Amino acid sequence: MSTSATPLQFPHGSLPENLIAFIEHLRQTTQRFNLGPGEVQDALEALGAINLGSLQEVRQALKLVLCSNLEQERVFDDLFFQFFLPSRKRIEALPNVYKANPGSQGETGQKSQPARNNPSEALSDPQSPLAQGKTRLAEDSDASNWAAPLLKAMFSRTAGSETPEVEIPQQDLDAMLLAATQLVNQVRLGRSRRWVSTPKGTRYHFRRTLRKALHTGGEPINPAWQHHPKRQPRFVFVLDGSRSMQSYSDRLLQFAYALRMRCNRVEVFAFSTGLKRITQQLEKARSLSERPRLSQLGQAWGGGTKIGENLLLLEQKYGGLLRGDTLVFVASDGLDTGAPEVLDYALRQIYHRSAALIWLNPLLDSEGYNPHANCMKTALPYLDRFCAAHTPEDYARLTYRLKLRH
Amino acid sequence: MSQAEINPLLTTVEGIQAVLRERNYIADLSMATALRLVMALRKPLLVEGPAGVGKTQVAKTLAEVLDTRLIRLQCYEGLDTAQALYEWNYPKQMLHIRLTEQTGASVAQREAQIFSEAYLLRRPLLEAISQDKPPVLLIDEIDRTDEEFEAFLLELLAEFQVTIPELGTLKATHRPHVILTSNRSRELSDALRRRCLYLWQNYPSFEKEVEIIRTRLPGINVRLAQKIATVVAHLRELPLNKAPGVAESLDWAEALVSLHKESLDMHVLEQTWGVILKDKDDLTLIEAHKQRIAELVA
Repeated sequence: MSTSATPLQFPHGSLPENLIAFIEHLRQTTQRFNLGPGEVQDALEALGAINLGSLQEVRQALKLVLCSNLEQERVFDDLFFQFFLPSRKRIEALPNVYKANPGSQGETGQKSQPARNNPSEALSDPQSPLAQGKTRLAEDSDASNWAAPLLKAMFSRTAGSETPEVEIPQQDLDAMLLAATQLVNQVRLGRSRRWVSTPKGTRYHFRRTLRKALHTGGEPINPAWQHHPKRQPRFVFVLDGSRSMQSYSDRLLQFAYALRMRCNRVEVFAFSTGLKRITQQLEKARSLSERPRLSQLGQAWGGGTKIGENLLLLEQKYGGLLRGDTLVFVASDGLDTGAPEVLDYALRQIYHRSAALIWLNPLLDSEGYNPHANCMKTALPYLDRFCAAHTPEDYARLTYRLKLRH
Repeated sequence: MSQAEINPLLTTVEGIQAVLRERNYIADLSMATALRLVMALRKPLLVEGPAGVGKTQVAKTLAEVLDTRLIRLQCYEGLDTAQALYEWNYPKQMLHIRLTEQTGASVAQREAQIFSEAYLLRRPLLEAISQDKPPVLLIDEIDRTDEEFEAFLLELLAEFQVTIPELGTLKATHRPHVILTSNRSRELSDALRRRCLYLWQNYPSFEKEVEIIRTRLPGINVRLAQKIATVVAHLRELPLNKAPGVAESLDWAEALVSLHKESLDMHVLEQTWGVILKDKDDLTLIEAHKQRIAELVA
């Protein structure tokens, strides 16, 4: 969390003034507290309804009014104490809200204590088998031509290097847009349970039929109809932007960009040592048109590879995006030396929550390649489709005759 | 009627905790404060949390405490205004049109007659804003609905009014106490969140879980309740597909009491796994952790 260079000081004088200063303090954090005058008024009313002499009640009441999601709720207590009681330690240790979240901050603002048997938290324990698994070598080094990227991935698991702007290639973009359209159209999710008006349908639209009947003496001569609309798919595209994927990431990024241009229900993430949601950047790149590019990718581009940890983070932080109508694409070479247990857990969760899980591995067409690496061996049981895609035609066929689970 | 007239205890957070406890609901400070603010500010409360932590139960208990109606809207994909808000009674309207065919009334007159309150079928949301006494409106599992329905709810939750094209805008006679629950299966919109108080309800602590079990099942052996809470807390740390909630703990405790089990051992556990674990993969996974669980129940 970060605050501005000129923090407001407590106390300010009257209760409303202090409250306004605290709300200003919240607005300046990175958790995007979107608070307006309405919230200030609600907060004042809330304080009037509780025992102002009780610090805990005041904190809880303000938390209820000023937080609107879990991410804000998790940091609120620290921000509260930071503002009102900067010299005082937390008076209670509340349990962490995330069952498992690698590197997440607990409510005390410190790293959460590792819980035994919890794959993600166990990662922070150097003695745990999961953490030890980080140092394991992959087993599929038969072919020397892709051993180099593996070594690169292994020895650069820390942070990504300084990431320059990443340009989305324009060559063959039209063909890729066509492929994205075909891919979206091929997805068959069945019909929704909703009813919508339609000229031809399977059920009378009584309301409309009756209205029409008023003009024909009560005789429903012109019936109106309803039917169940087709369910529209959602897509989550997770792109491995690590150094070992450098040769392939341009094409994959172009595909993600094309998919986003063709369908609004697309979310795109990039990961390397960290995970970043890049949907909005793609959206902006789309409007700039001339030379679309992404910037400020930080640890999500150009570094080592942490597939399991980042997929787990995706599942936990953005789990709301994974639904019965979501197709998840993971584009990665699978050259990761992380603990397979974490990847197994993350993929199992994603598998259960999505309609299909598709893994794009650009190495799959390489001569002598077999998916024997720990990472790929772990992933294979959860994949609905495991393939490589290089040309727009390949991408168009990714969902061809794909059997969906929901 | 104000809360103070119903029960003076409802004007304080401690009082609310005490009143809920009388009805076998153990509320922590955050939940009691939330209910205090729901009553004082008359704002909807959005409760998010894993399944089975008592989100729905709190609405039921609040209705009991306030001695008022609980009106429940169970959400699902495809839920629309016809099922949630109102529907016209079409057979009755059709009959009326036929009966008034020969009266010489104009189309406009007949239309005004059939689109009146006499032909209106009230669904939960309309029912909730038409009560003489403020009810508790439970909008359960809001994350299961479509975005369109969520957008429709905005007017109701902000203004406590609904607009029916044929009748105009209907304002709430008394503002209901609204509780929305969500399991976070999808992200809710910021617009909806801003209209609500927000509470994250997590799994209870060990002590609270033991207290819940003992409150709901007064006859249970203390050690058995503690062992149940210990095992369940351990299971929640495992990467299960469906982690057991408080509801499962209570079901398990009830099952053990019904089976006249005074203590837990691995044999009893294996007989009753099905009460707390409801996924085949989870049952397989638990095999690998039997040793640790045996230590816990020993």
